Amino acid sequence: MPGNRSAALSIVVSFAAAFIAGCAQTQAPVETRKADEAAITAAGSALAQAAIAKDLDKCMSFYVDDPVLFIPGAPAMVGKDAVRKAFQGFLGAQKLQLETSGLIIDVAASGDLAMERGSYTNTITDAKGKTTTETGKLVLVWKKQADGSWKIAADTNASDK
Amino acid sequence: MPRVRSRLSMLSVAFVAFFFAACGKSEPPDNRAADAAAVQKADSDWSAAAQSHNADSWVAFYADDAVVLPPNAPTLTSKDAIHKAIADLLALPGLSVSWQTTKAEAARSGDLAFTYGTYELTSSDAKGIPTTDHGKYSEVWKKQADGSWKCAVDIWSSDLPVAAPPPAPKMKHHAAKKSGRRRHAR
Repeated sequence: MPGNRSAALSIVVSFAAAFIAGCAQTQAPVETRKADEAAITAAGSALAQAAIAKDLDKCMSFYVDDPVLFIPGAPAMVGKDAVRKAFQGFLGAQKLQLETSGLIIDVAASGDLAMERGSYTNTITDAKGKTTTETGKLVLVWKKQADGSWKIAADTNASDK
Repeated sequence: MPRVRSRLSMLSVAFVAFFFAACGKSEPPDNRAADAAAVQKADSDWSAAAQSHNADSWVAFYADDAVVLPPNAPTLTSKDAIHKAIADLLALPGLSVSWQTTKAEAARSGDLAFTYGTYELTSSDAKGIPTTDHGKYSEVWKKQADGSWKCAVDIWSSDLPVAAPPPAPKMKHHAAKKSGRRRHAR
């Protein structure tokens, strides 16, 4: 009997240990917010670089398959073809200088959805060589993809004037 | 001995059951569809509340730390600033404003969601002539401690092209020829 009791005790202890270990894992998922924020910041910079380099395909690779692009003075662009068309026009400029500032990223606890907001300054030299500067605000909705990368689902701009 | 063994196995079964029950509970259920529906309803309730033209009931849909990014104006980061801007908007003569959600989606964790859609806004100009603007908006929503969803980020822009520069080139020439003084002023 004492032998059995100690066997029972060891089973109880091992179950308790498994219980604590197993539950601790599900209750406190690995904190990925910092890594997600860094990944989103990097994706945003890479998108700007691709735009400056006028690499349309690369630009589009930062958007989900069913994105929306909301820019001032034009109706909503819904779907990848519409967004691509808008980018094509945008990249038709002679020179693009794209800057962002004050970016704030908010990632959902589950790490599948994030919001980014801030300000932008776009200095655009058109085909005729005329340079204009537009400042405004932006809100981006990012979604984590199956491969772990972050892509833009909604891209909204509001110019300052 | 058989009795001990059966007691032992009962104990094991109980622990296994406890383990699954407790751990199953800590795996959150997938409420994305319900959360998205709740956010879409809040957005639609908001548009309905806007019909009262009451700034308080409009602002009640914003989170305490909400940020509003309107076109042609600086970002509003305090609830007082937001309240003032909304009160100014609602004070426009002949105002009518409404919006319709196109899409609503929530995070798996149920703390963050977004909506986007289209709006229509009519107001009267100084001469009492109604002008209509329409455009699109994006909103980020956050679930509050009480389980309700509030708008944390609000941004929109008009579909209409920026107003064309007043004098058409031809007119400008004509006016300049007619009046040297005007040309000078320009």
